[in-house]
Amino acid sequence: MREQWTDAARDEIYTELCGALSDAGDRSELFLSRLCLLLIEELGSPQQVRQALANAVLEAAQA
Amino acid sequence: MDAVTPETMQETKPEIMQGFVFHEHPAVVPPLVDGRETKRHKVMIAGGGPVGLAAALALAKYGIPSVVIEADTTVCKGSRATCLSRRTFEIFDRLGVLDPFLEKGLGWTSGRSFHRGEEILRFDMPHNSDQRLWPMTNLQQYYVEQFLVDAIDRHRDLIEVRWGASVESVTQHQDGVRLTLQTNGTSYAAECDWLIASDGARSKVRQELGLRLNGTAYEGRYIIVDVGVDLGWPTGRLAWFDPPSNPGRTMLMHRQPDNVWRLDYQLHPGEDAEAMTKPEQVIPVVKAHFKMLGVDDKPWHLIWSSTYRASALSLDEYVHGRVMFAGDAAHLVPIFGVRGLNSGFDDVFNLAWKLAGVIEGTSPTSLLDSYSHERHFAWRTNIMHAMKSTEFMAPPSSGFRLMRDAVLSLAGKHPKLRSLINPRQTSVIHYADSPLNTYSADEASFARGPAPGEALPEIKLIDRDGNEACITAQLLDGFTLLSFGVDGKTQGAMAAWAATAVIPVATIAVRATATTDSKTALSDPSGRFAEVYDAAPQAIFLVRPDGHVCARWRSFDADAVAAALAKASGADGSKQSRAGTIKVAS
Ligand SMILES: Cc1cc2nc3c(=O)[nH]c(=O)nc-3n(C[C@H](O)[C@H](O)[C@H](O)COP(=O)(O)OP(=O)(O)OC[C@H]3O[C@@H](n4cnc5c(N)ncnc54)[C@H](O)[C@@H]3O)c2cc1C
Repeated sequence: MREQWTDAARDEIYTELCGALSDAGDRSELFLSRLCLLLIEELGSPQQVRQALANAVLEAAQA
Repeated sequence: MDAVTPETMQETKPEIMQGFVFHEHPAVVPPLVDGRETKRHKVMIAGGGPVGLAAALALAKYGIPSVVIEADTTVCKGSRATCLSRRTFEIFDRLGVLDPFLEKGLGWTSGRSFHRGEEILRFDMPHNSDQRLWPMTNLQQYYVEQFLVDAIDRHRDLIEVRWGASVESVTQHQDGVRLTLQTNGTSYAAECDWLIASDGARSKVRQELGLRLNGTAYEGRYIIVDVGVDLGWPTGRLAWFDPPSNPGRTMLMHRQPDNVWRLDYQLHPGEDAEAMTKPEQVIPVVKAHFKMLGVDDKPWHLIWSSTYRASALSLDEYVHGRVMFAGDAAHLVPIFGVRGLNSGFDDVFNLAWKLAGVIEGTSPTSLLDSYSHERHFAWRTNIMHAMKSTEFMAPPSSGFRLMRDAVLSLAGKHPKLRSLINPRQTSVIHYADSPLNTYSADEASFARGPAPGEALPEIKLIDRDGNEACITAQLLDGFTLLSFGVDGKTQGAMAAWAATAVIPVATIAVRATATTDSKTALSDPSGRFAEVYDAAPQAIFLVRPDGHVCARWRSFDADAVAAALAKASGADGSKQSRAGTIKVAS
């Protein structure tokens, strides 16, 4: 059965992600890039990827 | 024979803090013969903090006398618990102490979180028109303790608080517990049948029994500051991540009565915790924060500052022979989500009816094992939530920090991510796998409502005089058989069964429509009870003395209810170890 995308599930995944990122240590950038590449393949369309890219762009204030 | 008469310490002047008066209680040594207290006690309670005081009141409800041994001569000083949950207030009500808490406490329902200058989350605590109590109420711990002490004063026949007496040693035997107590340099021996250890995080009783807490202690440290200031703001939880006033810190603010505000902030790595509690370090941080909030024109003063380090630690078992651990002596939970004291009150409310049953001989000692089982499960549930809050507030490693900062920077524009920032405040624990639960053949037919192990949800009913009557306020001290929409014949059968049950059971009948029937006290004209409890007419709920449901049925069956009652009271003969076979560890 497909797991539902709930707040609790988001919570769980978030913690798993934090742990995996910590484990990656000084290779965390490579880890994140690999994760991004895998996740964009899961998205339905290039437009969705471009939208996510635009949302993630850092504004000066967030640097 | 060396008889010693009671000794009294000089009473000193009370200290006043922002309107609260700290009374010094005299330290009294009881009559001694050869260095021993002449009277043996049924129950002694080591530690007269909030949990120990509540334990004494809860036992008094069952007519069980106790002596509270408290090392200090006043209620606690300094910054401690502030946020009390709805469940805690329900327990206060059941202990008969609710009024002063309602009068003095500041109820609240919501909170706001900010990242840098931007508001990124507004959250609401679970609250609706079914409720009579606030989801959360802020009140300083010294008020909590004082109100409990005031209530104890009205129960002097059953409770003695021995101020200024500290537990020095503990040994237990098959038939009781021996303690060495010390007051003003006088050491003496005392004996009791049962000991409740509620002597706090550094429990002497725990050390004496050679027990250790297991779990995790976090690296991050916090400064806890109370300041006196009238900001004229409403009560609620306010949190700032990386605020412009104090870059890199996480700040929390809570309003308390008497114009006291609590500020918690995280120390930067490498900052010396002790040095950072000094006024010259604290004042600039608070000043900058007040300036950012535009309230720097308000006169304020520093009351207390201290350090705090989060830990998630617990004993593996809370019952060791004749010694039962409760509150911080049993377990520690990070303060984020406010589960420390709130869970301590739940401990003693869970324990009191079980211990009373064992002392009165209506339940076997094995019933106490369910206290350990249920409350250790509660601790595990509590830390699961509290650790998530702690990891968000103070990321324990680079991965957690990077992800946390990413969530904070996105949450303003991406609402789905906001649930990750929610502080996950305390809620009532569902004892789903309690050994006291009975899952009846009808269980699967209930789509919602309180399942076995869940606390009764609040509902407003109408009494026969037409007044509002909340269900959680109707419960008495024993078991309750709660029925919905039963006919007169079934009601008679229930009453007849209850009158002959092995232990006292009260009956509460709820009618679907308004009633003037003297046997049916309550009605549910709004239909909320039927809806929330998924209760079709004839539904039956067996409720434990602490308000948790232990079984439910679609209709009354005396044999089924009797079996569930026997299981929940430990009287079903399963896994019993009667008083003679208590396991004494040391
Ligand atoms: C900064 C801070 C904020 C907090 N905020 C919250 C909150 O908002 N909500 C919440 O639920 N919890 C909160 N907590 C946790 C809460 O304060 C504790 O969980 C609570 O005090 C536990 O109560 P207790 O009675 O078990 O232990 P304590 O309050 O520690 O009481 C133990 C008592 O035992 C006495 N004692 C100790 N040793 C001996 C001895 N040998 N002999 C006799 N007496 C002894 C002590 O004098 C003391 O009075 C907070 C804690 C801190 C530090």
